Parts: sequence; structure tokens; C-alpha cells
Amino acid sequence: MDTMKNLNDMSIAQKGSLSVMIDKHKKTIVAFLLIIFLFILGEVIVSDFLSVGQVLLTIKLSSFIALFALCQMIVIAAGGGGLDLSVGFTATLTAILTAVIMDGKNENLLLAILVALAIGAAVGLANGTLVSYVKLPPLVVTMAMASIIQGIINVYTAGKSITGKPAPILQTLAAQSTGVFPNILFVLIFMAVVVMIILNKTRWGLKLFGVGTNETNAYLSGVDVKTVRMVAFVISGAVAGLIGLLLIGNMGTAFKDMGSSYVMPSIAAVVVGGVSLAGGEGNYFRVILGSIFLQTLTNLLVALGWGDAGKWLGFGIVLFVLLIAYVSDRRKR
Amino acid sequence: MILEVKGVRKCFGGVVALSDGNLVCRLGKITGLLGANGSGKSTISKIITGVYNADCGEINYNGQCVKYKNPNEARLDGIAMVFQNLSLIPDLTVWQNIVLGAEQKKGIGLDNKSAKEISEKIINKLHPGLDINKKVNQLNPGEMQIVEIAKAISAEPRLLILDEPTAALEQAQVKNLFQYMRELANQGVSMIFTSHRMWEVMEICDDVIIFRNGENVASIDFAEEGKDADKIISYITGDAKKSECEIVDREISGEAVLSIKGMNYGKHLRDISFELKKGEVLGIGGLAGQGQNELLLALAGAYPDMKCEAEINGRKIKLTKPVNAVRNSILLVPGDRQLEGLFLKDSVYKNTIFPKLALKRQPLFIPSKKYRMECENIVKTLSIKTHTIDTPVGTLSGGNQQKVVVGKWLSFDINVLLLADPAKGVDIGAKRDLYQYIVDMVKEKNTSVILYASDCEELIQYCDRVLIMYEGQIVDSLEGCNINEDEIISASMCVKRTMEVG
Repeated sequence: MDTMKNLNDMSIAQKGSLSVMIDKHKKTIVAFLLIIFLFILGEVIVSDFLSVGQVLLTIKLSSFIALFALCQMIVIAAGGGGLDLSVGFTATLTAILTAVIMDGKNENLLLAILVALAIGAAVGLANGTLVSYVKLPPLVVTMAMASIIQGIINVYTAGKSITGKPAPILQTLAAQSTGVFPNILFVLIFMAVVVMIILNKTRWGLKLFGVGTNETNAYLSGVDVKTVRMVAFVISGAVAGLIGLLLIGNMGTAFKDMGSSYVMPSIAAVVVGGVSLAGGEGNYFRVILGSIFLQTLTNLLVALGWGDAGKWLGFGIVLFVLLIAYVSDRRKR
Repeated sequence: MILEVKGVRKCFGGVVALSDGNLVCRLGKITGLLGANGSGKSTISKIITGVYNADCGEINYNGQCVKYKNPNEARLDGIAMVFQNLSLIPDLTVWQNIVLGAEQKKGIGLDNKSAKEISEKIINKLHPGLDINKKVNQLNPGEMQIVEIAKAISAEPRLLILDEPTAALEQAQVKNLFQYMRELANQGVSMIFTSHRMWEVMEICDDVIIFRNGENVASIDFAEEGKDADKIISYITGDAKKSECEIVDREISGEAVLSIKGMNYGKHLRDISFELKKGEVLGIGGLAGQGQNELLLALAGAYPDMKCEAEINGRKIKLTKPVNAVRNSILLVPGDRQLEGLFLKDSVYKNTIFPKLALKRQPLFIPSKKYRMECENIVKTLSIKTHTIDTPVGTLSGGNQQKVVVGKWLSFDINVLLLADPAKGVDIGAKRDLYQYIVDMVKEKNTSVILYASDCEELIQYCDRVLIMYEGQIVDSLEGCNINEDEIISASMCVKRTMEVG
């Protein structure tokens, strides 16, 4: 499902195997080099930027972007201009509602997980139905959904403080470390392996990519395009619901805007990871690298004292540059 | 004489669309262009108006040698063309579309009043009762075609080119159009008229020019030589080699595999019924765009709104979802392979295994070892020329791409194979391989095939029976020795109907 593959295979005859290898993983290598470049740049400008502690902290912070980017990647891969702007809000909603349920006790965790899954899946089902069957544009549907959820959150939290605490297990998973390694890293690695297997080794993954690559062909081959796209949204919603649990585990308490700021970075991570917004492809490993890159960039800009403004400016410029680079790559075909 | 075209030649890539086009238009006369598909009649119209540039040859208009770069230049010079595929803007009203590009200024604004008057006048003649304040997207295809014609007429051309303007029109509308055309002709406007309905050409035109294989082979002045349909047909088909019937009638067992009753889909398919026998190769012929592609897509379940009674091996099935067709092994090799049949950027392997996903009882994890073996076999059987099975399909040649599309279905136990113009854009070698494979498959496995081919020769060579489609209906069925170029073309042009009408 890789746009680059096309170019590579054509040139196999002329090139040696090493350059073919490099070609095949060009985008991965680019993402890696960008991250290393940022760390070195940071070390030169700001002292004490490149250290084991810093790197691990960056990875920890970028895990949440990467998890949200998973939702994004699946919806984007299904094609049809898919995007899910509601993920951050869904996560906030589940965090706030499950905080009360868990009340700081492990025995309530199972119920909280079920509630989080149910809320997430319901939001996803609504999104998916409106996109697939009512044929509304995903951008508008999920934006409206985000507004609705924000409204619900505002009503729920109006005039009272949000009570409840995460289960200790969640705090261990999301906030603490084993040795030097943050535990959330293991969660992310586990997710990455599961996702890669599902996308590349199962029927469903193949269907998802097929629907994204060429809807007409997939349809005529007997695949139910609408259902596949709807399921993509349901999965996105359900995963977002679970991320809500990790968010509250990390923060120790739930608050109103805890998830919404992740929406834009999650889309940016997919782009930086070189996954086409046109659909039909998806490489979660590269998306994780994209998330790390964005977090490193944020850290650097914060270290430089440019704060929030610098962060958004930086994101925007990086997005433009990479989109132009990848699109011109495709134009060459 | 208003227009004279001499020795115009046009190639698209390596394909010669027009090798020697000559054409004369007289003042105030209507000239008909006739010819089979791809004979060059549309091409020459488009060259005159500057849609295409001729490779060589000259065009004399009003005694001057002209060469327009685009249709707008031609329009300024008094040559207007009504296009086959509509060039209207859906969100504007009828009258806005009619004056578009030729708006009259009045002060700083536009002179909408006179624009409406002009539109009203023309529309009233063509289709009385059509509200010119309606938006174009509220019109039906026939009405849109009328607006398109009105738009061309409003430019007050001296030469009007109508490229199959009647295809979307109903009988009454055609009549109005003809009346108006005659009126314009009397005012001194010259016209070039193409249509695949022969009786229309016979009725409205003063003379006809007949095209075959990119050349004009005859021109007939009706006033002098009279209207002789048989003669015209013989020019269109050429000295059709009355090839002796060499096809030995194959034994076809007689039990029906697929039976279709009363298939209807909008305007595209009307009341189609037929039976397909086991081991039969059923051809679908006719002029381009008479619903052949739609018929095959409908059989593959692509249209949820299509209505029909379908039985496969005596069992009732619903053909409203592709998955139903696939599970009953009614398998389509679509006409537009890049858009409808392949994932271009994916590997041969992924393309060949994809259809299996639609089947019931598939393992959760893809048994890639087994599937790769199968794919290697498919590549071998069809002799697909590819580096490895991981090569992206987009990098293969057209012929090999087509083989991959066929290959997708080979691991199925095929009941009915639907082929929509499989040889289009395929080189001769690959074409021969492909048909050879299909012929062998029919012989060995007694597979049933429905083949739509735009090229008569393929139908003649491979089919046991040929159904001719015309405007969404099956108008004729040819069998045995009747399957020859002559019969196919005259059936396609609906000559029999001409006789009834005329």
C-alpha cells in the first residue's frame, strides 16, 4: 500500500540492493533523521537537550499523540477523505465520566473500561453512520460531533468540580516508569504490534486498505465499502475512549480540556509519518516516529522560550513542507 | 460552399483516428455524417471547431484557410458546436447557461432582460414549456441536451455542428429540433449533423458523408441520388468479407446457467431478458454506449436500484449487491480496468487475493503462504509478464494488467464470466493469450461467458450467439452463420426499425 513502492520496483534493475533497501524505507529514514537532527540542533542551541532522560521523557509525552494518531490513521486509511476531529473530545468525555466510576479503586476498573468502550464506540458509530450511510463529509461530521461532545462536557462540569480519581493500575500504566522506561512506552509498543498484525495479516486490514485505495474496485470485488468505513470510525471512537482512561491515569484527575489539544497533532503525526491523506495506506511505526518528531519539535521550541505560539507555527510549517515533499513525490509517477 | 475540409489526418498516440478526412458543407444545407464506432466522424467535427488540432490537412471556411486553437475562437468566427457530453454549469439557470460566454453588457451590469428574451425565444421553439428560470441541475438529461443546443444556437452561428444531439432526446423533442433545424437552414445556416439513428439522418439531411476507418468513403446527395438505406449500410460496413461460416456449431448442453427476466435500470437498461446456457459464449454487440457496460455491471450486482428476476442454476438470486454476484461466482472483468478492476499501486499478489475477502468462511489471518503459491500459479497460467508477484500492478503493461484482472477470479469456481471489452488497450500478443485462455477454459470446464466487445471481429470469432443492444434494449439476437460484420452492423444501426418508420 506504499506509494513509494512503485518507484522502487521500477528501478530495481538499475540499482543495487542497498539503495533499494534505502528507497523502500525512505520515509522511515527521513522521519528518523528529522528526529535526530532536532535533538542535535537542540543540544547545540540549548544545553542539556540531548540526554537519556530527555529522550525518554519525549517518548513518554509523544505516546499520547501516537495513540490518538492511531485513530486518525485507521479512519484516513479507509479513504473517502476520512478524518476524525472528535477523538480528543471523546477521550475527555470518557475520562470525566469514568473518573467518578473508578473513584480511585482497582475493582471498579473493569466497569470503567466497559463504559469507556461503550461511549467511544457509540460516538464512532454515530460518526460512521453519518459519513457512510447519510454520506456527509467526515470533516464536517466529526467537527460537529466534537462540538456536541464539548457541549455535553460543559453541561456536565458546569458549576461543580469534577470528582473521582483513576484506578491505581491506570496510574501505574500511564504515569510511572519501570527502571528508566516509562510504562506507557510498553503500552504503545503492544498497541503497535497488535495494529501492525491486524492491518497487514488479517482480512480486515486488507479490506480497509482496499477500500481506501480504490473504492470502485473493492465494491465490485464484493466488499461492503460502507460497512468497512463505518467500522473504521467505530474503532477510532472505541480507541479514543480507552485513551481517555490512560489520560486520566497520567494526570491523576480529569479536567475539561484534557484531550482536545491532541486532535491537530494526531493528524500532523500521520502526515509526518508519510501516510497519504488520500487513504489506502498506513504504517503505524512511521506514525509513531512522526509523533516523536512533533513532540521533540515542541520541546525544542519550548526550550527556546517560544512557547505555545512557536509550537503551532512550527507544526504548521513542518506540515506544509512534508506535504509538498510527499505530493511532489507522487507527481513524479 | 461554406466549409471545405481537405485531407485531414489525426493520430492519438499511435492510433490513427482519422487518416484522410474530406468534407464539404453547402450554404443552408444540412450535412449528415454516418459511420460505425471509431470511424472518425466525431473526430472530424472536433477538428473543425478546434477541440483537436489536425496533424495535417487544411480547412477552408468562407474561402479562408482557418485553424482554430479552441472552440471559442471558432465560435467567434461563427462556428458553434453542440457537444455530446454536456458542457453546462449545473448551478446556473437555463437562460444563464444559454448566454454564458456571450453576455451582453448594459452600462456596468449585464443585459439580463435581452438575454432572457433570446433564451425564451429559442427554448420555445425547441421545447415549449421549459421554464428558463429553472436551474440546470433540476432538468432531466433530455432537457439538458436541449439547453446545450439552445446555447449553440444563441451564438447565431453560420455553421452549426451537432454531434449526436438526439441521443438523449425523446421522439417529440427530436421532431421540434428538426423543425427548428430546417428553419435555420432556410435562413442560411449550414449544419453538420451526426447521429447513430439512421432514419434521423435520412429524414433531416440534404446530403450524407459516410466514414469508415478514418476515411470518408462516399458522399450521397439525397436530392440527386435518392435515399437508399441498403446502399448506405453497404458503405458503412464496407465490402464486408462474406467470410464463409467456418464456425462448427458446438454442442451446447441446453441447460441454462443464468436466466434474466425483465431487467430494468433507469434509462440505461430497459426490459432485458435472456438465458445463458452452460458452456456458451454469449456476445453483446451494438454501437458504443448503448448500455452494454451497464448490463455487465448490473449482472455483477453493481446497481442497488436495478430491478430484475435472476436465476442461477434454477436458484433465485438477488443481483443488487456485488457480494451476491461474487458468492454465486458471477464474476466481472470490468471495462475500465484501472478504475474498476485494479489497485494500481499495490502488488500483483494483493490484487489477486483481494476478491477472496468477500467470500464466507475465510480464516481471520490471511494464509499468505498458500495464497502466494496460488498467485504464482495464476501468473504462470496466464503468462503475466511481471518481475515478481510483489511488483505493483501499475508498472505492468496494459495487456498484463488486464491479465491480472482476469487472474483475480481464477481461483474461483467460475459460473459466469462477464467480460467488458477485455481487449481494449491491450497489445495483440496479450489479447491473443487472453482469448486463448478463455476459449480453453470454456472448452475444458464448460464455463459460461458473456462477452461485450466493441470490435465486431472478436464477437464473430469467439461467440456462439450475439445479442445486439440499442438504447438499453436488446433488439436482435444473431446465431451461427448470421454472426458476421454485415449483420452485426445493420442490427446495431437498427436498420430494420428504419424500414418500419420510413
